Amino acid sequence: MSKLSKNVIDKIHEKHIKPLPKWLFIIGHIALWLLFALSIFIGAAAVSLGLHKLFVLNDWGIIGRLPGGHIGGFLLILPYIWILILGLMVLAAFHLFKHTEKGYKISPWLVVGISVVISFIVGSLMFANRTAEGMENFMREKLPQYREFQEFREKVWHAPEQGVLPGRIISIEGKSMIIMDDLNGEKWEVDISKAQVPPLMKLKVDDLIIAVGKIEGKGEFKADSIKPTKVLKDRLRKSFKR
Amino acid sequence: MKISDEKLALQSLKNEEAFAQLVERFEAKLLRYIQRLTALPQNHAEDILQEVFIKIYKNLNSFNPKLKFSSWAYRITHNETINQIKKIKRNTDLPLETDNEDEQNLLNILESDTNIKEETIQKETAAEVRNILNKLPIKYRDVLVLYYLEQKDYNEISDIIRKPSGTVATLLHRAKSKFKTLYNEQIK
Repeated sequence: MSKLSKNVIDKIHEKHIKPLPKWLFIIGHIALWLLFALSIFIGAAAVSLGLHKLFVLNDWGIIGRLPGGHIGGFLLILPYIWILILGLMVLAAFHLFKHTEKGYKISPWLVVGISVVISFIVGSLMFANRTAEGMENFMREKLPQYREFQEFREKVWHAPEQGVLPGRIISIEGKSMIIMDDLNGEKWEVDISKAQVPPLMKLKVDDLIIAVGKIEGKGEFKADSIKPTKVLKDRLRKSFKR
Repeated sequence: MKISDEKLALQSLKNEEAFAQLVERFEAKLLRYIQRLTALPQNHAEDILQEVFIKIYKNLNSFNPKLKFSSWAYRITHNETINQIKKIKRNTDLPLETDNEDEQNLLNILESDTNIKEETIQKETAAEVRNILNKLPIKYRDVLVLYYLEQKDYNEISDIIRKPSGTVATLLHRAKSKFKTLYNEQIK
């Protein structure tokens, strides 16, 4: 026995060193793969919530009226928080995959690409079957900070100078005038005499709507069209199903 | 018939004698690898090597017998050595001590890969070669040592440093290129 092998064996005896049990490595591998799958799932959820934010909670028909026109408006409504979370999850998936048994053999770019593609496929399915909507509602209900943040973000739609006035109807004055509160709590008299209203939509007090038109004077707005907000769209969709 | 390293590794789980045999088979190779990578004094390199074998023993159950034991042992040695280098913060200014065989191998790299005239090479001293390697970042020094001195192929290096084979090829190409640049600067 060489001097070194003797030293090594002596040290093993002296410190009662034993090979770590196989189950420990198996659990480690399983945990790694589960975390990898979880990061892909969270990435997919981020994609679905991002798509929900982009295509359900936003109105693309009036995006050009936001500050900065179409490009500025698009940049304003991008779901940055979900893009950031997707990025973090792809990064996490990449690092976790690298530590799997043969993960290092695959090019990092391929791993990142595959993670993004899987996240988009699964995320699109979650968006299509309205899982994203459930998640969004759940988070708004259970996480006040999330709801406040989203409401803050939704204020980008408050752009009366650009002709976009979202708010809540507080009274209906005949067929040509409504009074509404905007997102900042200010009152507006909105002339709807020449406004286009979607066929199924009947305006009622407490409805959340977007009036599109122009400011006529202080607290006065002339609407060219009235659009339902997401909340109202949901109600219309449900009543239509009945 | 000589028992394979992989079988010996599996036997080591139940039999310390088998592990002692494994240590004897690899101690010279791994010690040389540590020294080539770090240029630490013999006793310090032996301390690292002892730690490497303890880690190998502790992690025997994670060894996949479908892989070469040699690559796995080199990987643990590589990781432990890199950790030690980081610890002592000597990764950029370690004096690399190569032996005669190393010098000849490295001179061959210059001959075959850099088109430098043989007569010029012959004038260079081993100290200059050491100096060039010493200036290379550890990641380049590592692949040069593994490929040219430890005679490992791309797949083995990939298993040792846990990088894709394509990345190994790129690292090796850059390492040679840097080696050539430094060499040219030195002979001017």
